[in-house]
Amino acid sequence: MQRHGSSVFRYCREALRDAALAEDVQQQVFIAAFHDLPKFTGRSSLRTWLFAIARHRVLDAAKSRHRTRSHVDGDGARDIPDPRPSPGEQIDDVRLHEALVDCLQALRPRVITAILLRFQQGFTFEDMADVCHEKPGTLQAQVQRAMPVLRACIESRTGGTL
Amino acid sequence: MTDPSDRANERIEAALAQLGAEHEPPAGWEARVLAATQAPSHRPWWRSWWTVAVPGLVLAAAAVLVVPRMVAAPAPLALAVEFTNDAVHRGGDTPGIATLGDIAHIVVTGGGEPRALWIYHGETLLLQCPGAPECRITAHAIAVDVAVKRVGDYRFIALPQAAVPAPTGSYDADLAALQRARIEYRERKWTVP
Repeated sequence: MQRHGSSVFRYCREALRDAALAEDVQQQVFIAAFHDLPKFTGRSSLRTWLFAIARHRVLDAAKSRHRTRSHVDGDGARDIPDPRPSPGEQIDDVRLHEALVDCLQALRPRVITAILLRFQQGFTFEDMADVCHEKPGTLQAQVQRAMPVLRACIESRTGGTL
Repeated sequence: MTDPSDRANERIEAALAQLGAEHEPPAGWEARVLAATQAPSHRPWWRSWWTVAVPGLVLAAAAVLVVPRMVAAPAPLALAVEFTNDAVHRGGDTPGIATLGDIAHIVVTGGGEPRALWIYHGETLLLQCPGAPECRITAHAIAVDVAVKRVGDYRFIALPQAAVPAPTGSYDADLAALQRARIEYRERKWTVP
């Protein structure tokens, strides 16, 4: 638990952007892992297996939150501060981080998961295929398509260039 | 010179790698997980009732439909004989040649329960299942391993669930009894020269 607790929590937190929900989901992941441990065959690594559970739980939580938000506040759009630099100025790391967090949330939950697994968690596309039950090529294409979208979003929000 | 697009992607990837690095799971989360895994579940009675009743009904329906067919038509009787000797592996459905020191692996499946296996060396009954301590008998199969210690012909006879006459110990007499009783059997012959 100690070895993988932090990384699973980081993934849940950034995928859901809700600390309380992420805490809840992270605990559900490890409770489910304890119950299903006898079914773990060792075909993949323990980390891959844990993230497969985490991905399911995160997508379920995102789906049920989306339903709730649709009922409560319609579009769920957030007002964010927009610290624009002068045009053409390079975006600094702080603004990049803020814009990235928001732009990531504009993507579909499955794409957010693919991006986080690849770059935040450092999974290979082959390992991601085990986590997501999809082909490595499909996941790679998802990530490759998302990167220009993220870049455009970040530059548009900050008004600078990367 | 680095492509600006590559540089931009590298910055985004680096930022993604750092995303959430400052956050740790709440203190005591491991204890809460352990407590949750050890606590007995408190489910509402109706949920427990349905979780048992629905699969129960499905199984009962399947049993009503499937079991009579299984009882009426058991899988056909099958006899598999293979010989191994260290790395050498001989076998298949056709009779063949084995060598001294081989181990014969015999498996009988299908034909209903109880099934039987008789093994002869030459004319003489060497081993019978059920009966011999080497026999491994389950609901689905009989399996036995026999060391080949003598030259000559080895005959393996698999018998289905039927009123099989007890073997007399002589291959010719036993085969004749099976044929008189019109019992379908499977036979394989291997020779050790």
